[in-house]
Amino acid sequence: MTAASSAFDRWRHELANQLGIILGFSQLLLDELDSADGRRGDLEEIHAAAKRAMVAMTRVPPVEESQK
Amino acid sequence: MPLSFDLGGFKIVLQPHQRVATAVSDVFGHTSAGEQPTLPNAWSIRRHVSGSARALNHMTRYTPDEDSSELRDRLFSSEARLQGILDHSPAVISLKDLDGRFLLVNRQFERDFGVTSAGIVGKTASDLFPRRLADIYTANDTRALQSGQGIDVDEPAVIGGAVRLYAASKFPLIDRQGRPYALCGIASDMTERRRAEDELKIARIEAERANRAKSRFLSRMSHDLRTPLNAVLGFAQLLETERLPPEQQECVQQITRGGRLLLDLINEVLDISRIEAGRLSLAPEPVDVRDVVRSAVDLVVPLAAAREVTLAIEDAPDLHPAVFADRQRLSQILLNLLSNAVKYNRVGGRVNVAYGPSGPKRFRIRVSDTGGGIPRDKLQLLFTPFERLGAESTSIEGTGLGLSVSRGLAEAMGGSLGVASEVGRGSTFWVELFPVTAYDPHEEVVTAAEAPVSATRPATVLYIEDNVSNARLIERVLRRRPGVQLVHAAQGQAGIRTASEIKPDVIVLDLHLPDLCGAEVLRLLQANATLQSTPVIVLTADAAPEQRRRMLASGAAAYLTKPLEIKEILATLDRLLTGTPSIAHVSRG
Repeated sequence: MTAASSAFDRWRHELANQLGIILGFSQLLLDELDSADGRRGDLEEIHAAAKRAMVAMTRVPPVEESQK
Repeated sequence: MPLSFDLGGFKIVLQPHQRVATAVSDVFGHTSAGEQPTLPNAWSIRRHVSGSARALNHMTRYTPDEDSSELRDRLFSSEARLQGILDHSPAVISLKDLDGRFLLVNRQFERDFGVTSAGIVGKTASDLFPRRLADIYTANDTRALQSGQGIDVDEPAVIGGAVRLYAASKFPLIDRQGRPYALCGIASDMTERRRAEDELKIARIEAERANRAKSRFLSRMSHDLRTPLNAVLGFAQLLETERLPPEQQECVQQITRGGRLLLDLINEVLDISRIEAGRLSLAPEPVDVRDVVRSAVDLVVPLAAAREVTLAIEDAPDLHPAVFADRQRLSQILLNLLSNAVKYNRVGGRVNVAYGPSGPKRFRIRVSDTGGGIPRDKLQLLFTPFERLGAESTSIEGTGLGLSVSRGLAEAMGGSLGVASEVGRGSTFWVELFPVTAYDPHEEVVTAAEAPVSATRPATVLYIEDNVSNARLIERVLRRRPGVQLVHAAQGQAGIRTASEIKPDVIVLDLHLPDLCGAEVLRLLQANATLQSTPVIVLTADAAPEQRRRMLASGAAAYLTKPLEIKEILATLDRLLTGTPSIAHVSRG
């Protein structure tokens, strides 16, 4: 593993960590809010966007694979 | 080795000897006492080997007119001397007749090829070497003889089962009638040098490939993450304004913090990549130090208050110090140093900012803290990307990129960034830049904050954007401007058509549209006589400074990047809808 790929893997890991935090807290709030609560829409947007970001991240190949 | 004794008529023989000796000495490292011999480069070897060759050639043309025993003795001793020189040469030297039979080889030849002179004389390359190699040598010999002048070639050899590469000079020896009668070859083993050159070349190609891969990776990650991040931060900002129980408020704050940290991670790694590639775009200008320091300190006040850390600026009211810097980038550096000084401080600690000249052409801004300090052997690690010196296992937030970005930015502005620290007492980080003399702070550009903003009138905003979440977010944001109606178009062509029909007051334009690129949409809008005066706000995930410059130069009224800041988009809309002049059009003076 090269130094560059190692640094980027750590970066990627950090991104995943933060996305995990967003997903976790938005899910927590969704569980707590009443189903008729008007704020659910905003939270669902947050949760869906964080999921999209997570998927987008897994689609980008690691640096080492990009070099091939 | 100088030949100073009297040789009478045989100088013509010995002068070439001397040239051979000098050339060999030049090439193969006769150095003064204590000096390390250096390996000559390929060009130097070829030049000197050719020099030696010419000298040999010259010598062999000579045929003595007289035949006497004294003459024979002297010739014998001269030949012995020549053999001595050849035998002490680290080059491989051989002499062949016109049929390719060896007449003479030197000691290095014997050593390299594991043969003896007695065993090789009279034999041809085919007798001694594998057929494919012998064919190569014979073909090169023929070429050298035919050329009349000699040739320089690379020849492979198999020694001890390994392939080695020799740089060889081959040239004919010419008799008095100008006819070739023998072929001389002088060669040096270039295997290690070529291997080193090849390794360097491969390393360079690998580094370039890695850089290209890194750029592709960053570009994709940056774009693919910015769009969803825009939705996360936008909706989280909306939720922050809602009345929620404290526990739920904390959840929203965690979401916002996570989103902002993600944004920092993306921006900082892009900065590092730009700095490394030398593609960082800077707009240097005289920057009022006091002003930029105060602004940065103001931004960390809430963080300091939460940690009970006191912030202090050692001010000099009668001075107007200025440095030559990119204002935004200097702010970024100071913000990084200040937030670190607060985050890694002790509860109830103190952060002190001071500035002043540090040399005839240097000006230093220092940020000192009363934190735990950093051991000397760890100081340089601070500037390694992602290195957090153990803070990653604490609750202190950070990307581990801030200091490496800050140092890169300071250096890109012609300055430097350093640190001094004492364990148990605290650290002082400093940024040093070029000072600007005779600076008048009143020439500052008027900022948006200083421009008066009046109430927004009823208006229509057209948003051309393919992402539904982004459209919904803007729609939610604009609910805070009750008089403003939002119309959404999901494609570029549809956006232009809608604009022609409804004549919006402001157009908000994404750059990545499914049918047309945003730049083309902007061009078509400007080409339309009824729309060309409609202000266009570009709202994009592309944070590249070049793109910003291009779009503003093409006529965009503002360039905002995602994730959007609700306050920023509202302030921009307010400004455009009330006709307040754009920052881009405010001039100095």
